[in-house]
Amino acid sequence: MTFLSFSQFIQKNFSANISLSTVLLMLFTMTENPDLLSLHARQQYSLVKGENISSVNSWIKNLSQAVYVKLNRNASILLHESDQYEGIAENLIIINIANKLDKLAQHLDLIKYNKKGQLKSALKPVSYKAIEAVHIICPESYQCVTSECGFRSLLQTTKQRDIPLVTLVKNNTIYKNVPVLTGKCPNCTTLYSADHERSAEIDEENHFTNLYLNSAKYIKIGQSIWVDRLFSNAVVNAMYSFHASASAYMEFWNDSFGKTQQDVFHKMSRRQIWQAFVQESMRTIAVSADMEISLRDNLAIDEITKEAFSILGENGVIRAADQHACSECTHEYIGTTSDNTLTAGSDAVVGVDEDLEQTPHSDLTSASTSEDVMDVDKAPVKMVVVDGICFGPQHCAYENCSDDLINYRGAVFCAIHEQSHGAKCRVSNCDNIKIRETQACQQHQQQWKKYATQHKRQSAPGFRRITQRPSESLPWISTNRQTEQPHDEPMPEREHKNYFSAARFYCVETICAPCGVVIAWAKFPKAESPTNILAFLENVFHTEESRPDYICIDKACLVLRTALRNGSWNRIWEKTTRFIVDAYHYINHRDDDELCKKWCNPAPADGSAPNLVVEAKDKKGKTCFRRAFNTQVSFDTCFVRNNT
Amino acid sequence: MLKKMTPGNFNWFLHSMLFYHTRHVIAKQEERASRVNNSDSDSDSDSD
Repeated sequence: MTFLSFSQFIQKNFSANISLSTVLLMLFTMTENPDLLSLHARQQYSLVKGENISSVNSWIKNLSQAVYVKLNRNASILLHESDQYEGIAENLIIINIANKLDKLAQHLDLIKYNKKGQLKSALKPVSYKAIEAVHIICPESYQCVTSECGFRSLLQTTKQRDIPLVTLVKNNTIYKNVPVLTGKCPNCTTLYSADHERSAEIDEENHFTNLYLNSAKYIKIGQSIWVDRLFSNAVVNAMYSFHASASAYMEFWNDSFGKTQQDVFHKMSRRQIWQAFVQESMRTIAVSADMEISLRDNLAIDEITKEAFSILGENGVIRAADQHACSECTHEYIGTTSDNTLTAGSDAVVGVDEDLEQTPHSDLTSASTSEDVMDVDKAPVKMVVVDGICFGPQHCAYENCSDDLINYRGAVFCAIHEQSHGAKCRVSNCDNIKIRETQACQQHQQQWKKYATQHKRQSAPGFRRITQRPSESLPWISTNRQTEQPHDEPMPEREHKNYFSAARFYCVETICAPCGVVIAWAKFPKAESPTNILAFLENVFHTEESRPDYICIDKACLVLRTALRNGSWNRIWEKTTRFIVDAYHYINHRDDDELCKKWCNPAPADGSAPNLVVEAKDKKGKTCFRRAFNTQVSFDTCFVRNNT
Repeated sequence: MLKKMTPGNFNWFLHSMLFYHTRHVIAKQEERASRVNNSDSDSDSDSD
């Protein structure tokens, strides 16, 4: 159909003031609903005895009604003046629009019946291939933003034959042969791409820096693949919400979108999904830090993650939680008669010891609060929960070294220890040279063989390791478990017998607010020791104002003991903070640990810490007391456990 | 999947996930607060 014919039809049948958007709305309404048009067309002919002919039937009237609603019930932008009059009924307007739509369908050849009512051919779904827009990836900046260049216009200097043609994934639709154009400032030679700007480093010849643009519309995730932000956001959200790995998301995307467009695109790879994750997350965190990240040019993706973490990682402090306060993690201060010094409390815990639930309000508060103290203007009371989960990446097996391995395909040492010990027997304190194709000397071959047998795929422990179920106990597998480390006892020093396998970080420690907001995290290489916990807390809460009033740790009594011993209690914590244990730990520990019983009660029922207890109503509407803060919160419960 | 990562990737991945988690928790809190505010204003207008 020619445009002239279409234009004449519109002028003849619709309002003289009809807008282009309304015309396009009508056109796409026709092409999007071939099934409805077939139903409408069939009812216009009587082919079986008893069938009634209906030119304006319910099918087309329903379509007309939907168009009318879409136009905000304003028919004047669609219909001729002659088709409407003052006070015209709505059903007549709908019939008028239905007539126009029927004529338009016939004009567009979307009614496939001849005059005798015979079906010429079935109406197939309309392909939009011919009217698909041409996509070009080009820089967002339209002039040079370097201050010395005075907003010069950007030149497109790439020769036509050198312009890369790439695959673009936009709204999960794949477009082939999309040109990627780069702008160049003739003055400072900065290259402006769609997702980054590359400029020469000052005083460094042939060294360039990439500025990753937070506002980029498209991101390059492979040599010739670009994606829109919808795609990269979906990758990050899938990893967060479904705990999907890059491989799992790759499978999902290829099965859902790739397979239906196989004619234009082969497959998305795991590396491209990981690249999308890194590029998107880097930009999101940079936006929250109110900065744009700038890295050296030509960095490998592993280098980019390292650099991004060193710039945006902030030693594990989560910027999104900065200055966070809500009713779950912050309470109004309630004064005490004891002037906030450590005082002995009862070993009864509110919310745990059942008989205390019904304690009358006056009984509890009379011993602890006074009206005079309540009037004092104090900062709100905050609590944080510190907890760890035993997992982490591999690191160098050599004693007291937690550097990265030289490679992650079977290496056990970092680059330094690989050089000094790589050729030697991997049994501790043995300096003999190892026998070829084994990891031990002649003397320690038996140990090596035992290790190799236990770790090969065919053995039961090896199989469990592959299937990621190391703790599964089956009747036919001999159990050789290590004694579990009680959380409230000091960690014994473990002796390295050999270096046959790489070491692993012992745990990831998190500091969470009782509402679930994560404040900071850290990796502990060897143990969740009180010294490590104190160092972590000191690093995160380095100013007096930032310190919470209560820190809940499952081993708070141990931490308190260590803090008193190493002087950090007097130096840092005494003035601002109290260490308390969680209720579960307390009821098990209060009987045999005097310090825990006296100082670490999570909700003393004797009124010695009224900020840890709140008034509430029980099911019968009776006043009772509950713990003020949720101490059973940890990030691992909701995310990390599903990913280990 | 975290067990198989290099420390560099592990650090970035965990940091990003914790960041998204925190943002998610805060967004839920704000959503809950605005819902409570809206229902309060609705009940006020109803009583009027």
